[in-house]
Amino acid sequence: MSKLPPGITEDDLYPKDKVDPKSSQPSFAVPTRSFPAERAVSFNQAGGCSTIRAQPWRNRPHGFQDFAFGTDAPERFELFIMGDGEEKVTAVDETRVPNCVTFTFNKEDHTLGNLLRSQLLKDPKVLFAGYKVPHPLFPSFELRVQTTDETNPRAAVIKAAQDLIKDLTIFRNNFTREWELKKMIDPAKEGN
Amino acid sequence: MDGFDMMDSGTEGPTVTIRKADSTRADFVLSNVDLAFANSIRRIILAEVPTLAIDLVEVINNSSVLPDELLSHRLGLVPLESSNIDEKMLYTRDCDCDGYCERCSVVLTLVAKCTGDRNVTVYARDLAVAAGAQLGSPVITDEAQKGSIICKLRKGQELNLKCIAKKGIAKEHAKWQPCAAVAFEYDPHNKLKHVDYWYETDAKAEWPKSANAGWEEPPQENEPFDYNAVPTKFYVDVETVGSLQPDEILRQGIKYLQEKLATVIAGVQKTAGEGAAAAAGADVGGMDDGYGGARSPDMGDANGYGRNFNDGYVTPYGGAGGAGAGAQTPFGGYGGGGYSNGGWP
Ligand SMILES: [Zn+2]
Repeated sequence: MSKLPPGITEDDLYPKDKVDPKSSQPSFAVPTRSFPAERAVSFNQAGGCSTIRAQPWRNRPHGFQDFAFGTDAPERFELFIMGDGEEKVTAVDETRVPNCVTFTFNKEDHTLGNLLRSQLLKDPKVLFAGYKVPHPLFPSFELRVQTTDETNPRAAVIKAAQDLIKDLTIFRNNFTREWELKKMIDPAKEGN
Repeated sequence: MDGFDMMDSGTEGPTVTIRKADSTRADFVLSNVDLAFANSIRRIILAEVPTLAIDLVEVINNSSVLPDELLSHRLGLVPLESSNIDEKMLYTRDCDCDGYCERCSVVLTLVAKCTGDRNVTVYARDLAVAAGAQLGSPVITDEAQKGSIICKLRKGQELNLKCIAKKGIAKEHAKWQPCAAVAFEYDPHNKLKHVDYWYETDAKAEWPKSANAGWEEPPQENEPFDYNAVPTKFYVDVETVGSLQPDEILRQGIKYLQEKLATVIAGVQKTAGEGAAAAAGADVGGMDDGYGGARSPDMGDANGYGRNFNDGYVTPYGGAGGAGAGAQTPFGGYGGGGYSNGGWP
């Protein structure tokens, strides 16, 4: 027992009506958890054998959720794999603006959002098209489309997607043709 | 707007001029497209074209100086031959097996030991692919045919590893990236003023000319700024890590972008079913203006998309759902039939 300052007794420090901190249980639960056995998966004559994911910070089995300490990022595949019961596209009709819908695309990013936005703006029946990623940590984007009353936002988005699919087919055909030509003209380059 | 007329005439639609083509590079000029289109191509080949990479490492013995985790990380980054992976492999998450099997993985073993006084260097070539595997051999492009260095062993140190390679995309981890780099440039003379060059006294004198500057007319002296101009010509240089040929990367990228767009069509059609039902409900409430029930007939009548709504989609305005049978699927039946899933003419 260390020396107390003059005029201070043990009772002053640990009043009798309070719980003696030396013997009390902590009032909060100490976070405990059992890790799955990542090491020592099995034993063989070579000694301990461990399985390690080649992504060190993800070094644990799939599906093992860990938010216990509030520091862990979600699994990377959640950027593009739909969760149970999730819809790819949801639509909210804008009630205060005619012919206007805000679509939310789940598990998609700028690759699709900007492409659709840009294609929609080429359509003379589209009055407004814009997209945003509401938060960079959540893999979704919102696409707001307003059209004239000759069509509607859903039809406009579908038409934009169809036109893009056609353009991509043309791109693929042109690229493949040019690639084959280039290889024929200069076959020596192939295999460099 | 009709892409197929464009294709026949050969003057409209995305145009490609290939400047350099070999087994690791595709340098081309993409014109007659907008910035968003070109950038989406760039993004998808960087992040969403699947390849094969080591994902699990069973360490039977590792007495090297590298910890198991570091060694595993290095193994993950070794490029593995992945051509036509979509026809040869499944994602483990789509496979019926428990853990991994030959349909969704390739097993590579690495056994090495240093017995002499000189240190041994372990290279990618020392990874042995399981017999009968259709793909997954380490990519070796150097003259000495060694591949990348995995680790070094001193006398008495040894490695005995079982590596399980899986199919994946770079959005999950960069080890699945098929491209080492995708160079992307437009407007080499900065006519559009998208770039604000830093300079001491004269930007023109201090900045070197772009390698692509010869492909476009330089601006005239005192040329007025065209504020309506948009970029239409893109200089793309795809450099691979060797797991896929550059032309396959591009064709795969296009395919996955088309699949994304097909998912959009299916998803938006699905919301139309729900929206119309809700709108019909609103109509009962006497809402006539705005986007109420009064609008929903447009979906079916004004444009032919109403027929493609999901089964069971029936509105008070006539059963669009009745025509659901034989409706276009996301992967086929667009006008002209230009797009089919996975098949390349
Ligand atoms: Zn399997």
